[in-house]
Amino acid sequence: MKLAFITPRFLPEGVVGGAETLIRDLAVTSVQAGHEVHLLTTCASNHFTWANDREPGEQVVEGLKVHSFRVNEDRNLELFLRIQDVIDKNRPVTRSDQQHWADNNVCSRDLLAWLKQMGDSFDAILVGPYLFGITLQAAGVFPEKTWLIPCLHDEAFARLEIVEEMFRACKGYLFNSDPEKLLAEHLYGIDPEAGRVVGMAMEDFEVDAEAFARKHGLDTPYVLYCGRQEGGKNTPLLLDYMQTYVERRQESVRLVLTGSGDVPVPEKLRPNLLNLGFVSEQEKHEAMAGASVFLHPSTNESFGIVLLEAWLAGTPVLVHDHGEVLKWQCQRSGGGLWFRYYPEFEAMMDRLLGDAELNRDLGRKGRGYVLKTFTRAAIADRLFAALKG
Amino acid sequence: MLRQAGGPFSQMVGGGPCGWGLICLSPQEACRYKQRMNEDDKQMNVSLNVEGVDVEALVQEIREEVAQKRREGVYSDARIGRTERHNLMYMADSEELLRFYLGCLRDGVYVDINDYRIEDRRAGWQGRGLVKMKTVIWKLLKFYTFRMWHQQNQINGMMVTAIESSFKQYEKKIASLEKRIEELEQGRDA
Repeated sequence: MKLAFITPRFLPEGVVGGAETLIRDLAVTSVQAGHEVHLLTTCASNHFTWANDREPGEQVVEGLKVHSFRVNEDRNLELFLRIQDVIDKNRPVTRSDQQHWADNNVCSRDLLAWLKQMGDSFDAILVGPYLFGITLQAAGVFPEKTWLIPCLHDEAFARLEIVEEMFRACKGYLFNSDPEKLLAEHLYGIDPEAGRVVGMAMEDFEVDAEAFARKHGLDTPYVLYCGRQEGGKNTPLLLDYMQTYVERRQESVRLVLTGSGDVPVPEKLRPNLLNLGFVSEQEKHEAMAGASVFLHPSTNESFGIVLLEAWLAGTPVLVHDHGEVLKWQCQRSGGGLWFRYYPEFEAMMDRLLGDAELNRDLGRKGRGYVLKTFTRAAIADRLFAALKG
Repeated sequence: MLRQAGGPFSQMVGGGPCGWGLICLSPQEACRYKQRMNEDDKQMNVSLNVEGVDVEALVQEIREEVAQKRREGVYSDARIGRTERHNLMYMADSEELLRFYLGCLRDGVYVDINDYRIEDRRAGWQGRGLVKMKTVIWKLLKFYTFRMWHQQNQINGMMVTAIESSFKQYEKKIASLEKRIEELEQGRDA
């Protein structure tokens, strides 16, 4: 098959957002399965400024023919942000304002022109994630052969008419989880048969589980959170819960955070907190392997890559009951527990920290689940079963 | 220590209770949906949560244990009330959790205006001097703000009582409406 993948950012050497990583991974999986794959993206690498900081052109990366196009520089950022703020606050937005928001979102006229000219030669066009202008526009060029990789969240943007129209027009959908698929079916009334749950391939790793504690002088058990530190990921809730847990139950347990962001740390948690900011993949994996529990309280995930990495490291996880996708992963794998409120969090932490056999068992089940379900071969099977209908 | 892959995975497919709290779905819809997904997983030859501990059962067991401890007052702690401030939006859709939160609110409703032990981490005459100075500052502060905090505590107490009362009234009203609906349905069926 000849496939075109479209995603807002692609850095040949670097790490970008979760959704973009996932789309790159699907593209690489397709190359390895022997297909001709083109990846269309922008010259931007910074998701705050969207400045064209890379040269437009073509290059081959991991077998992918990568085409980079310039982001439109004449977009009305003020108008875009004003409408985005209204949407974000769940207030009604007219159809024309939605269109202004989409047109002044991250878009590329050059990419669109290339797609219009060359799109006919592709067997399938795969675009995502759903809330970028590039996706909204590219999906409309050849909708009859376009597959959406939405990475959908239950949020105000998902309820826009223009998003619904895009969903209804596309040929099919590749989801990361059943709850995401269910959300799309509920919001847009799409045919359940048109959507498939595919996910992303996870590479196994082996690390020294004691290296992290040695490096940072940790001589007591620690629990870990990796990812952006912000309200949207429920990090403030995690910090409050951990402070109360340390006060009420275990003074010695430490909380280790990795990832960017800045949230206020409760005063009494400070002696028990190690906030490392951005760390290398190797160090992150070592931290995961040595952690007693991996905590992921976010309720706004469409896949949960770090959760699966923690399982690969053999570590059990604790997630929020309202995090439908993460809870779904725990239910399927048996590799973690889910809490609704602080008393359950406390009781589950007590179990996971106090019962070594249970801890090992859950970690082992999580690891087995990832190794079986998210191998490259399994992802390729699911992806091409979907594309070939 | 190197962590190795887990043991062999069984080919069975896990069932378990329908524990999905999926948004917008009735329990029956969620149950049907989960059944469909289990079928999909069977086709994909994916093994689910089948060996060792059944996490759904474990979560249920822990919930029952927590409910028992709650009845025993283990969680009557003002710190828990404060800790739930970021979780309130998730608790709001569960009557059980909301009732618990109201209990937390009652535990943490009053601003603590009692004297407390004043310390300083510095040792020697410097530390003792600072403790004396802080004690004087606290006494002055308490003297000038006592009236304000006392009134604030009265307001807090009244507000919690009002919330609790209206919660109880609504509970009563809903129970009586449910009873009435049941009676009407029974009458219709008969």
